[in-house]
Parts: sequence; C-alpha cells; structure tokens
Amino acid sequence: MPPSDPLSSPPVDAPPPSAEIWARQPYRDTPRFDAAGLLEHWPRLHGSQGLPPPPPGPLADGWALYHSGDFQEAVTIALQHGSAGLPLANEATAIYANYLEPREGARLALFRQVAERAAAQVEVEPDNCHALYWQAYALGRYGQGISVARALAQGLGTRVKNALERVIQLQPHHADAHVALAIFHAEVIDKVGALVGRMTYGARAETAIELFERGLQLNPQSAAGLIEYARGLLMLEGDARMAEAMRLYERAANLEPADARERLDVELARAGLSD
Amino acid sequence: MAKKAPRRTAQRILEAALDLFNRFGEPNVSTTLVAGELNISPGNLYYHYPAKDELINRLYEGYEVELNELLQASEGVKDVEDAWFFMHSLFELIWRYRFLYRDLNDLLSKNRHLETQFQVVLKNKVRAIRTLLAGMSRAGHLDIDPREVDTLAHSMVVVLTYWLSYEYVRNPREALEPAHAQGAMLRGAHHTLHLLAPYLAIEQRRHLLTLSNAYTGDDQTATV
Repeated sequence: MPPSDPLSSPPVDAPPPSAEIWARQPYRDTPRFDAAGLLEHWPRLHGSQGLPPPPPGPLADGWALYHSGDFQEAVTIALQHGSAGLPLANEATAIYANYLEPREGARLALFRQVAERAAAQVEVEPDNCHALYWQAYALGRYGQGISVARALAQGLGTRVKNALERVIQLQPHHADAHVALAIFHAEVIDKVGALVGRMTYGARAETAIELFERGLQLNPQSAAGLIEYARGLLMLEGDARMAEAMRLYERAANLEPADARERLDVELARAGLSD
Repeated sequence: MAKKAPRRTAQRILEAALDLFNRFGEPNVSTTLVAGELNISPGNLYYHYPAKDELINRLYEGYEVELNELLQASEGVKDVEDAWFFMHSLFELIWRYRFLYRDLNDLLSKNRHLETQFQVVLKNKVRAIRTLLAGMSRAGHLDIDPREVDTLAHSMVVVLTYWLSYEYVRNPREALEPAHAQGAMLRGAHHTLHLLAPYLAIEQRRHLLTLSNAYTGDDQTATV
C-alpha cells in the first residue's frame, strides 16, 4: 500500500478537477436540482450565508449540480467563469474535500487550493463575505489536517479568526460564520489549554458556546452546526455534556436534508448514533 | 440508544488504527486504509481525527498512561520472581503498542509531541529500573557497587526499548505478527533480566535460570 503521509512532505497543489476523477457522492436519496428548482430553494440553501442567487445561465446550472452532489462537474463549470465562478468553485471544492476525498494528501491540497483562491479574491475585494468565509473554512480544515498546534504555530489561527470576525461584522446573520468561529475557539482551547488560548487568541469557552447558540438560532436546520456544537461541547466540557451532545446528534440525524452537503452531514450524525 | 455513540466511532477508529499500525507499520498505513477497514466514510474518519498525527498522539497518550502506572509497580519488586513478572508486564505493554517502537526514529522525526515525550519515557523507565535495583539490593538479593547502578539501569532500558527492533531485523516478515508475540516477549524479558545476573546472590541467580528454562522452552534455541 502506498505511504500517504502528507506531513513528511508538504502537499503539492491538487491537479485541476478534470485531471482525475473525484469520488462520487454515494447516497441515492440525495435531493436533485435543476436551475429552476435551485432558485426556488435558494433562500433555504444559502440563507445561512447571505449569498445572492446567480443569474440564469451556466453558472446557475453549476450551482444546481453542486447542490445535487455533482461536485467535480460543478467546479469545472465554475472555473470557466472567472471571479463570478469563484464562490461556487471554492464552496464545492471545500465541501468535496471535507466529506468525500479519501486521500489525506489530496484533501489537504484541495483545502489549500481553496484558501489560496479565496485569499486572492479577498485581496481585490476585502469585504467579500463568501470569499472570507471559505478562506477561513479551508484554512481551518487545513489546520486541523496538519494538526491544530502546528497550524497555530504557522499563524493560521489569526487569519482564520480575523476572517470570520470580519464576516460576522459585515453580515451579522451569517449563521455558518458563527458556527465556524465557535469551532475555532473550542479547538484552540482544546489544543493549547484555556489559559494560553485566552492569552494568545482571546479564545474562551463561553464565547464558543454563545457563538454556537447564536449560529443555531440563525439557522436551526443546520446539521453541520448541530454536529459541530456537539463536538465542541465534548471538547470543552467532556462527558459532563454527553447527554446534550447526544440530543444535538439526534436532532441532526433526524433533519430532512435540503441538498447533497446536508445529506452528508445527516449521514455523519446517523453513523455516529447507529454505531 | 447507546449513550456514548459520538465517542464510540472515535474509539473504533483508534482500535483499528492501532491494529493496522502494529501489523504494517505506521508509515505504511494511510487514513484511507483505516477508514476502509472500518467501512466508514473518509468524512467520518476526518470528523473524528482530522490529522493522522492526532490518531498517533491519542494512541500514544493511552500507552503513556498505562506505562506510567506500570512503572510505579517497580516499587514493589523485591526478588527475581517479582522482577520477572514486572519485566513481562512491560513487554506485554510494549507489544500492544509495538508500532511506536517499530518505527520509533521515523515517528520522532516528524512528530514534535512524540519527540519530546519519548525522552520522558526513557527517563521514567531508567528511574523505574533504578527503583527495582534498589528494592532488590535492600532485600539482600542484589550486590552491586553504587557506581555501577546507572550503567546497568541504562543497559536494561536499551534492551527493553530496542528488543522488538532486534526481533524485527531477524525476521522482518513475521516477527511482529501476533503469532510471534509470546516468543518475542519471553526473549525480551529474558535478555533484559539476564543483565542482572552478575550481581545476583547465588540463590537468586539459580532461580533466574530456573525461571528462564521453565518459560522459554522451545524458544530458547532462538536466543543462543
């Protein structure tokens, strides 16, 4: 079997999606969208991010493919549309990498790709919330992937935190940014301890809980938010919060998934519960 | 519904990773392989352990907790029979986490946590062996010049730490498979303890030989 440790050698840039076949989304009961259905469901699908719907055309088709779980096809279309396609390219790549890419090295390379594309976009448009959010998401997952302690040592922590705080400042109703910032606080405390976490990053357990609560208040349907809240509670407070974590898991497992990504989240919750 | 479900998957992942690391060596086992072995999605594995290092560190923590508990038991060692039992328990533990020892240098060079913690492990082992030597001396079973204690303790720790590497070199394809556990551990304990022989009182030395013969049996041929 091939050694696939990304830590001994830095991951190289992943090839463009056309160069190799991405893993397919395996669930047949995943909702499917066409461009018309997409626009109808757009508020439910992107309500937690405040992203305006795309104009009718190929990019709308690309978004429909993304929400149907055809991640590679969506990214291929998105990359043909310059900066207008970047939100789709980044979101679809990051979600694919997080849930479906099996190889650790390729997964990290995809997160890096998203982080770099989004960072370049933020250079030009410093208040672009979608770019800021996906930059933070990709850097955060990349950081977890190379180990949180190492990511913090490389200064990724500050970039993630600043980007997410900026998003919340610009879009106070961005539910996903609240959850992501909550995870940041929880992870930092879990990895470096409450005292150092507070001194170096202003990370606090109470802030994490407040952000989780606020994020779920803004979007109670977020399976990802529910699962991450459960994980955060266990990280911060241990088995004392097990019952509550279980309730969050159960809520996530019983949600009706609105699209492919939510279907994957629901599966994650079910897998945890049925084990 | 089971109460600890969110943690159970994490535990199953740990157990599968430990088994695969032990059999094939940590550098040869990818997270993809671990997920495949458990038949869970890659997303599920990464959800619990976003980095392979986290898996390794978590396994290491388990080892460290058990090791430190076991090393405490050196305080109760008074004679050769206690020492024999103590050494066997140590080898059993090392065997269960043998991936750490099998690729030790490789792991240390890429994992900062292990790099620092393993130095502590060695120190703790030396301290425990010194305790063992002191206990046997106090009981009148060991006659050793205080200036020789440190050298002996370190020599025993070297054999203890690297015995499985020695076994591996002698039979790379099979030595670390479960079928060879018993023989490897007996030989390791035997060789570590025999470093005591020159200092043992005559009765104890005879008893050590009796124990070795009783336990090693067929495996004895492999050690000479």
